[in-house]
Amino acid sequence: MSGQIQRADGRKPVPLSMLREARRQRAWRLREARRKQWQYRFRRIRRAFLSVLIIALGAIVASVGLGGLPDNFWLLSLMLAFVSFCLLSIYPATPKPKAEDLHETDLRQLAAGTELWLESRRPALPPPALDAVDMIGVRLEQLSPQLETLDPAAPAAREVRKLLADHLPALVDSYTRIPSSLRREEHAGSTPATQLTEGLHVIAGEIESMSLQLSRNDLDALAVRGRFLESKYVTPPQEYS
Amino acid sequence: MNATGERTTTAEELKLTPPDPVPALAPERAAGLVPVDDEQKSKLQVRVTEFVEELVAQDANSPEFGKRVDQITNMGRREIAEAAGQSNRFLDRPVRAMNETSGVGADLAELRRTVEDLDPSRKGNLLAPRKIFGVIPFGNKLKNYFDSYQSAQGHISAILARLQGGKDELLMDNAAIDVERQNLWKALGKLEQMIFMSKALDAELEQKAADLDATDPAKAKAIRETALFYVRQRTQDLLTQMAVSVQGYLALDLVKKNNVELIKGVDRASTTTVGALRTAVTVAQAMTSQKLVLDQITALNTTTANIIDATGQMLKDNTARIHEQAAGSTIPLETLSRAFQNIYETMDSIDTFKLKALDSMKQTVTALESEVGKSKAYIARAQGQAEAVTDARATAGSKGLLDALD
Repeated sequence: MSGQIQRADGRKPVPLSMLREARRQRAWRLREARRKQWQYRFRRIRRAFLSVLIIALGAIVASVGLGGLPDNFWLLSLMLAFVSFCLLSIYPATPKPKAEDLHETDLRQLAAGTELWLESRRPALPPPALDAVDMIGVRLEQLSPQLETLDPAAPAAREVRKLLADHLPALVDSYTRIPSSLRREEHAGSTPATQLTEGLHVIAGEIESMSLQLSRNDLDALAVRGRFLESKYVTPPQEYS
Repeated sequence: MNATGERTTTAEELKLTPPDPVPALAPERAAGLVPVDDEQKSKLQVRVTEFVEELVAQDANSPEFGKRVDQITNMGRREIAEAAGQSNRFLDRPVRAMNETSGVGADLAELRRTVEDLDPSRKGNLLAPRKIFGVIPFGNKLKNYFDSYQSAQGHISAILARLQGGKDELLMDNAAIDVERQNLWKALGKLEQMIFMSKALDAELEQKAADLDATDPAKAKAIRETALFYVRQRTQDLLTQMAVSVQGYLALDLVKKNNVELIKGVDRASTTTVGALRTAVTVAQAMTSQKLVLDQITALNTTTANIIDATGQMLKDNTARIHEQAAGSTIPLETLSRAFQNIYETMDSIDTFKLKALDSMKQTVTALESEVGKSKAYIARAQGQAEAVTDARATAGSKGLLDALD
């Protein structure tokens, strides 16, 4: 619970309930990701079996058509089937989310894509940074439906993309490039691990304020509606004379 | 006759007062408009003292010292940006109902044209018998005149309904202004805190520099040339933005007041029109014993006047009196003319109001535009500095010390 400890820098600690919620969401996401992975594997194996079947059928059809085949042809086709089975059950490898892909991702998928990518980097990150990663996960979850209605050409969209596709991967990658033995050495005032944690917290805060910014119009619109109804139907008419 | 005319004028003269234009506000006078309470002040003071202590504890040439000076240059950036966004929105706000081509203005003009067609004083002598070629008596002028009400009532009630719609729009506008002003008030409070903080910083740094003059002149010089310099620059930025925002805040109030006056005018125009039509019904009955049925108008009167109209009650009483007079008066047509005169007076006062209101609006917008222009330059500079120090901020040890309180 390092998030619970009051930090010397005055940053507010992450509330426990929020962290718990974040972990719950993360577990669900992991389950989803694992399910997707298995789906992918099954598809590969299906394809491998299919190739064996096609080779066998082809051999039978050829033998019927030509009225018999040489003996070693059977051996040859058996080997071919074996090789194709092996190849197709290994390749293509299960796709791993890449930071470069985030640039091309559709804005609607961006939040989910970033989450998956960040999840894949999780093992490489230091324990104190994991709280921040969880927080980013929660906030991305919140941001995701908002991005669906956002115009991709709007300045806000550009800002979101810049933060999620550029700044976040750049921060994490520049940390993971540092050899693990140096990650706890002090450099430029503090250790790389602390710098990463701080940076991730800043990004989490920024995602939240972006989300707030995006919903500001709706918040205002609702408040205006309420105020209008009040002034039309509730306020005694004496008020505006 | 004159006595009747006097008595039928509405009991209370409609007076629409355009609000005065918002005067330009000097940045020096901008501070102190939104109160910062003592508790907040002491909290901010503690932060400032802590910050200055930390700053002075660093070596004047160390990167740590530079980092803290960066924080000063970044101070209040968020608050300024937020307040700037809000006061710019005032300039985007169209002055609704003030233009003649659409909305309430157009509807009022159309209502006036329609009503003028019905005005008995423009119809010549209605009591004279109608004759073909001036010789053969044919029909009744008065009867034809009252028949024209029936054909016009659909049109009039459509205009009145549109006016009610326009009034709703004005109310909606005012609701939006209320919300915007609330947001702006919050932003102003934050700005005020930052101004208090930067002034406190100024004083403390000045004091510290004076103290250090004897013991460590190099550090005193560094404090004066970097920290204090930036603090003063930031104070100026904050004050400029404050002036703009306060002006925007007041200008929003101006728009709101204009709308309220206009709503009053629309209400009065609707009720005087309905009043005149009701008078016509009574007069028609008295003079031609013809039952004039203006159902649409009556329906409109009962639905709208009940819900919202401040002047409605007063006018209802008034119409009752008109009815009495019309029924009893020897010259009912005079009463009807007088009722039409009421409509014209209402519309004339709306027109004069609009002219004056437009004028003060224009003055306000011009003043605000130049102020916003000034503050935009500051914001651009602040933005540049902000990008330069974002990285420093991410790793800064004492982030949050120079932020406003929630």
